[in-house]
Amino acid sequence: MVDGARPEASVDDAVRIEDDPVLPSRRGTSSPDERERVVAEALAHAEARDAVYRRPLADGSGWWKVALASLLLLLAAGFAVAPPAWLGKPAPVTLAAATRARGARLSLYLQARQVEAFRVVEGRLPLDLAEAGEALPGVRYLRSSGRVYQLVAVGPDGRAIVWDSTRPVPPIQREGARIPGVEGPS
Amino acid sequence: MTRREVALTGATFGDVLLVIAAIGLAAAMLYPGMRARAYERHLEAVVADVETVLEAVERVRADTGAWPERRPAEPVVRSESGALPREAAPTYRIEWRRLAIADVPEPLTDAEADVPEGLDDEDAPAPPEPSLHHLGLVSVHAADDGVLEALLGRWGMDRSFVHDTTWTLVLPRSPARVATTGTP
Repeated sequence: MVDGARPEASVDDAVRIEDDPVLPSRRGTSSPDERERVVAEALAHAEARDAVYRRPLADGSGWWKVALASLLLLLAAGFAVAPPAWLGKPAPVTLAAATRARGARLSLYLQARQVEAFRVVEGRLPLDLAEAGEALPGVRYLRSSGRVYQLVAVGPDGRAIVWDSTRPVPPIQREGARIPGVEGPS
Repeated sequence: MTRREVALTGATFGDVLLVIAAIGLAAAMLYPGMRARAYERHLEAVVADVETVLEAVERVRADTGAWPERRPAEPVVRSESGALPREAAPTYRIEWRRLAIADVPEPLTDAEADVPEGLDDEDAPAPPEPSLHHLGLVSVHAADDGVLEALLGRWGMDRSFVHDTTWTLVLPRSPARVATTGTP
């Protein structure tokens, strides 16, 4: 140990290295040689311990951590961009075209019923739907004469659905009459 | 990195990266579920808002016998859920309408319209007068189909329908009254 540095010392060696060099306990004044020896011993001890810790870790000892972390980060990015259904993300809802088409027809039916109510009360057609009372969203009113009007709604396929007051569409009338409370007593 | 550095920092670069990746993965896996639950709560809030409007108009109908007039304010309720990011929370507005409809009775048959001999025309049976009713309409405007579908699911397709971005619930006619001149 007195010989100086041990750059190739192993961990086991480090275990065997005493924590503190034992200095001789003696009374009286030490000689210069003895002091030099003790100092050299202490320096050698410190250098030996330092050599153990200075030894680089084996290359690649943590590569699997970096690889695993990269894999996890990749997975996280994938889940963030396109989360699968089993993570609980609800599928986007799109209403069926038939449902929307039925809604357009019922809007026409109800609006026509209101225009007819206005005609019964006033004896004429309203100038616009606002005059009749309520304008249902998505329904256009076209008055072609003092007695004839059309109601137009756009279906889900982009085509116009037309209600002509001179030729009401029986299927729409039947569909509208099936709404509870529209026909008959409440 | 040396053992001394390990001893000083307590963790290697790989350790830190691994922990960050694990936290990121956990967050990425938990977030969709949390967001879905928040969205469901939002849909429940929309349904609850409509039920509140229904309760109010039914109370008016019970008190007065007729559906209330249209609310002057355009949006009756505008609700935004705080559980979702602002851009993810679908907005909607609820409207109340009262729609007049008229029942026009069938004209009298010839036999009914005939005036018996010895009676004046004034004694002839009067032609039936049309009666006016009001339907109640609750509409929810929402661009999100999920909201519209939730409302259809709650109230069914017999009484409600969707046109464009509007769900409408039809409430039964109020008691009849004889149609007179004036705005229905």
